[in-house]
Amino acid sequence: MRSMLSRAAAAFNAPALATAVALLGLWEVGVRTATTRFEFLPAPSEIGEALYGAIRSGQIIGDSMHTVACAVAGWIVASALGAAIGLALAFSPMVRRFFGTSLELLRPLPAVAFVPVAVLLFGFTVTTEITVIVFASVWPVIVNTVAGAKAIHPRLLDTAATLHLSRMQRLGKIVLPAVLPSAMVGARVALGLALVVAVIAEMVGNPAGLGWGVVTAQEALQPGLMFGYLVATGALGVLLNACLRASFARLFPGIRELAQS
Amino acid sequence: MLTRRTAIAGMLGTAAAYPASRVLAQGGAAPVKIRVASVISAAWLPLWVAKDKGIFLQHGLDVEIMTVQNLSTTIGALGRQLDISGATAIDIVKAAAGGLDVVGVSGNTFETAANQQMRLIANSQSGITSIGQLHGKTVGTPSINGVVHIATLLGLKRAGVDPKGVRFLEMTFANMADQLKAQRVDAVEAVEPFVSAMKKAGQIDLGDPMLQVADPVTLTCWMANGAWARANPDVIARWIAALDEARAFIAAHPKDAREILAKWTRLPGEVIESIVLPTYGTSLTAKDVAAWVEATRETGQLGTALNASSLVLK
Repeated sequence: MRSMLSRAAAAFNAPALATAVALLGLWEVGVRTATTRFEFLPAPSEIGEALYGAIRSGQIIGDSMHTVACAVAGWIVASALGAAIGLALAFSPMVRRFFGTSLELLRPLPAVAFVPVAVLLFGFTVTTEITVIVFASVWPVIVNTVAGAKAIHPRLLDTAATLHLSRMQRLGKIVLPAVLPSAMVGARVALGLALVVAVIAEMVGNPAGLGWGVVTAQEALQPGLMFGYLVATGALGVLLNACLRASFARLFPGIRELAQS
Repeated sequence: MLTRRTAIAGMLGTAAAYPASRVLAQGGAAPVKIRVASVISAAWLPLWVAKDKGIFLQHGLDVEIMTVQNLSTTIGALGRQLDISGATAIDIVKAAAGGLDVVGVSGNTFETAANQQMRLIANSQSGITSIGQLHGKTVGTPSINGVVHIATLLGLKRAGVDPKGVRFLEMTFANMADQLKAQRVDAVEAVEPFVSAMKKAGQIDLGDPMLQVADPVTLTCWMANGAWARANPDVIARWIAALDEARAFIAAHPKDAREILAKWTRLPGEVIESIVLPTYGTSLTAKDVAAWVEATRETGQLGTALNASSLVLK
């Protein structure tokens, strides 16, 4: 308990907090003293009030749970799929020859462009949302897995051949330990993307969760609540990243890359 | 927002309020389940009234409502995940021009000289007082080539302004007042209740270009996959009857109707009180759609030949 408290105290960043408070104060004063008052640029106090109301009513909690559940589900699928595709691309010349170009063509395409296609296939459903999340967040995992695999020193693979290790033994004893740090970094990037894309997919594809909350608050002429949803999205992003870092640090204490912020 | 919990509670409440004898009024058969999409706007009030007041169930329909952000995205889901969707006549025209089997099954709202929902609104600082002065200006639109935009293009053309000389920017209705105030745009294509708020703020009313298409003119309607609609004429007849009954309820019980509107739109109380409801009507004829086919063609947005009578369920 004491170590947890000391860790929390060490993590407390007073200058960052002071900067945030100062910026919010400037925003508040700016809105209240402006000669032109914009309907959809509320003061932080209005946003806070709307957010508090939405938390108390449970509205934003339910929406957050939906978004997080979809983002995490999509991220798990993307991580598993990305690692498998990455390993296949790194170690199979045939997979690289047949699929390499197609994957390179798909990679730069914006995930949101696939929402109409996903709606056509799956309707305005959770399946649509998760499909779009997987499409967007699979790429960092693939790229990092390939990079990790290619960075394996050839001597390690030569040693495995000398020791007559089977394919599964080579995978478990050499490839996976070598690829894991890089793949996990990709997975961390993918989690942030998964949350962002979940919100976008909810705005245009699956009417639920935080994204749909933003749309309905805007349609209902409630800018404070609309910004409240955005604040909740940002807070969830920070929370998910912190959870992931803590989980990785506990599961893989020897991997330095995962402990970095 | 309609959550699963509130939907279930609503269904249970409806079941309690409407005993089986009424629900199964259609020859003792179980109600036909249909999936319907709409957006959040006062235009779709008859749908919500029919749902909340159990009118659909009385007509043997078990309607599941899905609220979406943009109705043009529902066209691909018709006949698959959706049976009926809210639409504008332009959506049907565009779908048909794209070779899709989509038909209008009933009307929903009409724009009339007596009840104008749409307006072109100019910034009071811009010096613009008529649509003819929009050449070289920037105009905010909710959807490029949507129903409101086509009406604006027609209005510009008939006022002697080349639409190519006007820059259009897409934005949501809710953001239009701020964009106008910030002078990022010179004018916007707005609808109620945003029109009333902008006029109250002193912005300039340039008129209703939608009445250039016809008067009265179909503003919103209901569409379905053609094959599904032709195979289910009885369902469509019940659908229209239920919406007509809902329309009568809105006219007879304006206070109750506005409560339902508040529930579904979550608009602030003062907006709900002051909102000018559109003119509702379920009639949709080939002539109504033909007016939009002609407007789309006149503005250069339609290259293919279309027979309006094939775009409406006979």
